[in-house]
Amino acid sequence: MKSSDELIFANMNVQYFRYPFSYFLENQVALGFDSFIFWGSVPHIWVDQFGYEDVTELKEMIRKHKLKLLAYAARPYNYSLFAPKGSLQRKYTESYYRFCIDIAQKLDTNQICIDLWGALRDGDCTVQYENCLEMLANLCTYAKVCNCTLVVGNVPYANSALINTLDEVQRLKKDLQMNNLKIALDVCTALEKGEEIEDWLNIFEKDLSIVYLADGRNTCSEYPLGYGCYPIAKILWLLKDQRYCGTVSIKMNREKSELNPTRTDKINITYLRRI
Amino acid sequence: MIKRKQIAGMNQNYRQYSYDYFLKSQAMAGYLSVELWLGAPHFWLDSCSWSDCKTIRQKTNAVGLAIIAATIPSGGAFQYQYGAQESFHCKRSIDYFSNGVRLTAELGAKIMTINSGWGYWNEKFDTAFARSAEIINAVAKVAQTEGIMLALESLTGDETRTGYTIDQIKSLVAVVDSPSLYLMVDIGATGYSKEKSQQWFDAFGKKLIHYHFQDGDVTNPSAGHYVWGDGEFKLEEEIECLIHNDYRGYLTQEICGSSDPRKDDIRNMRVLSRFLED
Repeated sequence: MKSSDELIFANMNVQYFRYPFSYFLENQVALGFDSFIFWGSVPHIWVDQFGYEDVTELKEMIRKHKLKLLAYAARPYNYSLFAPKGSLQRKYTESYYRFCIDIAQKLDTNQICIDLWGALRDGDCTVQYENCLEMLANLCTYAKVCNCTLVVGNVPYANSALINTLDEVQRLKKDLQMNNLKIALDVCTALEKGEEIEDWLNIFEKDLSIVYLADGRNTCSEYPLGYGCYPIAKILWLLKDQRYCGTVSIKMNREKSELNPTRTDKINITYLRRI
Repeated sequence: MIKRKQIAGMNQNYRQYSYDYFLKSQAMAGYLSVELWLGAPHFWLDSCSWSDCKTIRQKTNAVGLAIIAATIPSGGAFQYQYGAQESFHCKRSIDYFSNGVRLTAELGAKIMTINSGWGYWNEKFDTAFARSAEIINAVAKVAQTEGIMLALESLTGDETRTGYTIDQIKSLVAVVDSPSLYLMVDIGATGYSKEKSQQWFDAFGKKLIHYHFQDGDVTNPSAGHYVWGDGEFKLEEEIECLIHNDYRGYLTQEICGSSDPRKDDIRNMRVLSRFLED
């Protein structure tokens, strides 16, 4: 969906957790979206470290609804790139994300988003960081063979003790030195950290591939647009002004929106049309 | 009075910390019992395997904590749930929860908590209900073999359409009809449905063997899982009900979402201690 000249908006199926995937697709068409980011999670798809279900039907459903899949956002579940070497969690994390890369290709997208959740608060930061770096390098190498791009970015402290800030993401990008690693900006996490969105745009430029957008308050984030205290309109104008050419992904809090996801979508669409 | 050993801590709130940190926190707060949430990073459990638990069991017992129950992660952040909607997911969930029973037995616990799971919001009640019954029935057979008691709790009406009231839970128990199936109260969920603990004792009597017992909201019932004193539940009234019904089971403190779980466990135990005897 292109609402204001250049910006590309894409919804996600996160808030449709309580409904079949077909219901999500029908609603996206009805609301005027032409593309989306697929949140790879049950009940819409099964993936674990042992494999994944046949995605033929899923792909056909997307085709029938004439929607373009812009990226596959792998749900982190209990996997963690920070997991200790030699642990089952580590072994299975790599297998799981490799399968996610495979699925993305089958669904005709070459962008795979990985949330860097799981760094422990009482763990050794250096060791955990190195663990993450090593696995990310392996996954980037695996993805590169099939011409895929991995997208990682800042994550809330509630989900990980590391990679919460612009500086940490910048360091990760620099240390990894892989040209198929792109960056995602979670607006809520950045604002909670007191960061400027403009700094993210200036530092990563064309490598900034996805901006996760939602409203937020002091105690919680990922609210529908216009339902919090964040300067959403200002952020969108900034993205437009800076000629941001990646995707603006509207990412809602699952639990807050899952009982009536279409209502949430309508609120967001109304907000975007208004500005 | 309630005995101190009936109060059990839980590691679900320590997902951002190591297991050792959790154990130390439990000792600092004065817990003698724990219910283990068998998810990463503390455990690995899936449809095919589970992590070695000998070390965990030894470590836990070494600091004076008894493992009294287990909760197998489901739903929210995991692939598996007790009402899995698609057939492929259903099979994987049965294998996973069956392994959960085996892991519970290996840890030396006697109780594994379960729930109804949920179906799609736009599907028929009977379809979703039948699937939950099928999954629970399959898991109950493994529980019977392993000598584990499954304690079925209700969820909130925001989480499921098939298992959030006493009547729905009664129906599920009747359909599954397993000697391994028992009941438990999660006072957050029952509070959401405006049910009193006494109603559960009246409905299930001695089959009611376990509790998730933490503070919660009355005015905002979808939240909850608080430290006692941070919400709106009436602790004294709840304790009186337990004593009145001669309840001898455990009261797990299923506190969630703490920014500082250690501090919260210490605060929580301080409040509960007024009602405990050693």
